[in-house]
Amino acid sequence: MNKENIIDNEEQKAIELLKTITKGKGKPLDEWELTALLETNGMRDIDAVTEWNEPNLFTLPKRLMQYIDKLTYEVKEHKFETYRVRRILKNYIKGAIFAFPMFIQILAMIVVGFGIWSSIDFTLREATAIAMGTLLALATTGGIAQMIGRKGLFYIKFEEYMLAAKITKRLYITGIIFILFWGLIFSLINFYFNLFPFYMYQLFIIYFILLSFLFLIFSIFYMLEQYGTIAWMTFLGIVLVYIFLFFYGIGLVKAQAYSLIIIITISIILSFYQMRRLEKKSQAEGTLLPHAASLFYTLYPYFLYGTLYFLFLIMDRALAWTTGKKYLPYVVWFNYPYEVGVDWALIPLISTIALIEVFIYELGYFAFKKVNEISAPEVKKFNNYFLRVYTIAAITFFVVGIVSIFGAFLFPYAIKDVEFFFKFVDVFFNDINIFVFFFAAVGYVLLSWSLLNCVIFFAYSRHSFALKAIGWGLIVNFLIGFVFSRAFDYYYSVIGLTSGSIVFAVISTFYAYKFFKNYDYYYYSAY
Amino acid sequence: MSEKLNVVLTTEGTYPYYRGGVSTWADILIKRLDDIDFRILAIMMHPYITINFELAPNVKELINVPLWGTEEPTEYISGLTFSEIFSRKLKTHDNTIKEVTEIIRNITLAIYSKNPDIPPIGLYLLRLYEIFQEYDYRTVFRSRYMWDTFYETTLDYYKEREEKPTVYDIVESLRWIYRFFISLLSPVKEADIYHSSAAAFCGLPCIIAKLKKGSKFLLTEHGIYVREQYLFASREKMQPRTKEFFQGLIRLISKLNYYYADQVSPVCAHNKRWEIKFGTPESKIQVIYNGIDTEHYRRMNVERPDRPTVVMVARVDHLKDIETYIRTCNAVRKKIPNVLFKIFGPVVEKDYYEKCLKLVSELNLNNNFIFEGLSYTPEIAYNEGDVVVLTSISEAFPFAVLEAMACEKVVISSDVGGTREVLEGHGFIIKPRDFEAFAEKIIYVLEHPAEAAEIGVEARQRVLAGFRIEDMIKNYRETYFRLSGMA
Repeated sequence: MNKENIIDNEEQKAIELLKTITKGKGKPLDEWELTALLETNGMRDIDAVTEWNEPNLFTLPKRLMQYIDKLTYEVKEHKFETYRVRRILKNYIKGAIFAFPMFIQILAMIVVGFGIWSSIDFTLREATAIAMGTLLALATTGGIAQMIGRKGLFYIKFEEYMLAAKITKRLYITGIIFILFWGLIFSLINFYFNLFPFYMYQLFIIYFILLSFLFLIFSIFYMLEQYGTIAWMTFLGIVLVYIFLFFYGIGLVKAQAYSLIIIITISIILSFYQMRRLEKKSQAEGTLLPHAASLFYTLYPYFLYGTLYFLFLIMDRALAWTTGKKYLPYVVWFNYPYEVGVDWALIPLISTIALIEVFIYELGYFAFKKVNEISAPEVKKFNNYFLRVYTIAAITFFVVGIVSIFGAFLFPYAIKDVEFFFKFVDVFFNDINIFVFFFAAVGYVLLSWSLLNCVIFFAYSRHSFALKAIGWGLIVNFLIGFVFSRAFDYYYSVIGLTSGSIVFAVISTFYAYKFFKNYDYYYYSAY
Repeated sequence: MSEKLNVVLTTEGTYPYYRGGVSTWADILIKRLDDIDFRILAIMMHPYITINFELAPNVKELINVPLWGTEEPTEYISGLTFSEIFSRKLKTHDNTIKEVTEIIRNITLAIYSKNPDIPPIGLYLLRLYEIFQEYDYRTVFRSRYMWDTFYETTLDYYKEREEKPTVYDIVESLRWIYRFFISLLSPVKEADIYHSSAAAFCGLPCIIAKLKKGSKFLLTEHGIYVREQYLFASREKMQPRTKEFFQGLIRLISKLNYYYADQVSPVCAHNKRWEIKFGTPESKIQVIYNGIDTEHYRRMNVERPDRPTVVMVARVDHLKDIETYIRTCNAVRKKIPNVLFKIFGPVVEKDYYEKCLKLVSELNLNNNFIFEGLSYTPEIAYNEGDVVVLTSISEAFPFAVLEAMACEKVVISSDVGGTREVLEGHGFIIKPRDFEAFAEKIIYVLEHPAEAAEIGVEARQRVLAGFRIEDMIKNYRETYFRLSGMA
């Protein structure tokens, strides 16, 4: 055999060996790796001696390394939904379902004249007490709901279903204690300052407790991403109120209270059943939660954010209803045109909030793709790419926002001829609520945009950006709303909402811009 | 310090949370050395696991150190109050960030270096430990300064090289440092001995204790950590530059362990090869073999098939090379048609199991081959066989061989790991994957029962002469007392 043949044979033998030991593996990088691979393929020092004329298995890889580039190796594959339109549509629908319960409530108001906790037939006294109960229920449960969402999802992401269920139950119980605590405080305040007469107090406390329980239990469905269940429960609630009212002829308050009790009970059973299922499918064995101090430290930003968010949402109403320029028999006095105006403006909020789901998914999708593709020296390219993605998101958001504001505005006009079905559509045609609608709609679209920014900040563990933005927004919401409602008229408090949303949007966009400009850093430090 | 010997046993992904060889070893060690006080420092990949062993009364504390699965690295460090966590964060300023970043920069250079200077790295780790007893770990690692410096350091390293890392490579690398060095955070307690069960991150607290408190550092290696992690990276098909960093990190950690350990004790002489290659002086290496309970594993009369029976006790995974076992069955059947091959062990690789089932079917071995599944009474399983086989292509020092020998069985094993050290002259050693050689020896043993019985008796004597739990315990007791100066 001549020298060339010997070399060819050696090459072939080496390549064959490499092929065997790297099957199903990535490309070996050094000789240690080859030695490890040789050993786990049953090769011994003696084989290196007899088959390769090498002193041992640690010297053989030097020979193999020469041929390392003659083979191709497996690389890790990542599965993605590749059809962009389908992907975007899927996520938009998911986002829309998230906001769908709000839509059901609005629709119910104009079709049957009531929702699960609202009705156009309430007296102003009733409406005032119930509205207070609703707003305070939102503010009371907002923080806990955020905590459940955060920590529950955190464990689900790690497939730690048992812990997800455990922390959710624990936070749920904490939430109940929290609700009862605030219920007691509100009762004492009312008792001490005599703010509402007993009948109104009764209504207030019933709705406060029931709605707090409802929002709290719904937060578990949000955590489990079962948005459909919430929509179904909302629908069922309305149907039950209808049945109690028209088939059993009991009063509206009782009908709503019974309906709430039933859907709360069903929701508790369903959610606890879901958690039991989670525990059962648990592959994890863990039951140990972090110690309380640490748990509190990691969750307090979510609690704070949730509370600030719902305070932001209710601030303008609270200011409007406490404006004493006209008739204010109690410290708070409900006002229909204002409520209709802000509820109407929820339609643009729903349309834009669905975009959050789309953008968050797209961001994750492209982030993972690009971070793997773009070479580190070209980091600016990486950041600029995401600045562009963010800009596109902003444009899409505002186009959808503007279209949905006008769409929502025209919506009552479009359906007003179908009066046999939308019997209560007339509630929209009033100068005050049109005024309120426009300011609130602009405010809500900006709020929705700000929420998107905050979802990004939270996803990347930059809580302070979100808290600063919403904190300043809330302050402006309060100050402008207070000054305008007191200087002009009660419904000018909506300008506070709009101004607060502008500040919230500007500050959060400022942080988001900074974020994407340095996306490599924030991507790294997302833990 | 009390008169009792104090040992901190550090584990990684094993005792007391996962079952397996290392955990069984640790459990026996602690329970049998009941005159010694133990603390267990368990490095876990994440905190979501429950204890799988009942802790003995001489275990004074269990310190959990989860690396992943936490939002705050301090989440599971007991005794930290909210105000402490908060005040650590508040007082973490630029100077601390700069000092830590400089240390991480030097460690990164050592990771990329082929021959890093180990002693300074140990001192860097000690400094990191000291800093993070006072300042906030997460704040420092999430700082912009840390990220920029790490980025520049990495790019600098690749400046002259054609292949460049991706953004992901750098992100992942710094995140690894962040996660793995959480093992430095737990306060190091006074103890005579810090005993690490692997040359891994669980060795870092031992290094700190040695440098800070003067404790002695004993390192037991069941497998070879660096080798196992290399294989993990290979299996995971990591991106090349990510893998380069990961492998460098693992090499550095192993070298640190070998350098600072006062004694390195592999479970078989075979593993010394890697330890020496990674810079361990041979004089520091002292093999301590694992031992088995020879009262539990002994010859027994059990209900068994009325036909020649071959047994293997092993998990169904590719490293056990069950395919060779099946092919061996096929070869033996040609000579002994009624032979029965049994395998006792759980399926850990489902795809591989399917492949094995297919092979059994293709070779028409359905009447000769049985997958018995996991056996909770392996001593009975061994006794069912006329001969016990192990076809593994990779092992350290397999318990299965010792246990079968103690049951007076003729063992025919592949020549892997330290098997030869116990089996040579008391059973048969075969080249891995050589099913014909396996078959030949099995046929021989089955056809010569008297000789087989003699070999079996000798095999048990061999185990009794140094591979009992008592021997292992004696060796560790002597080592502990010698290292601590209390001998």
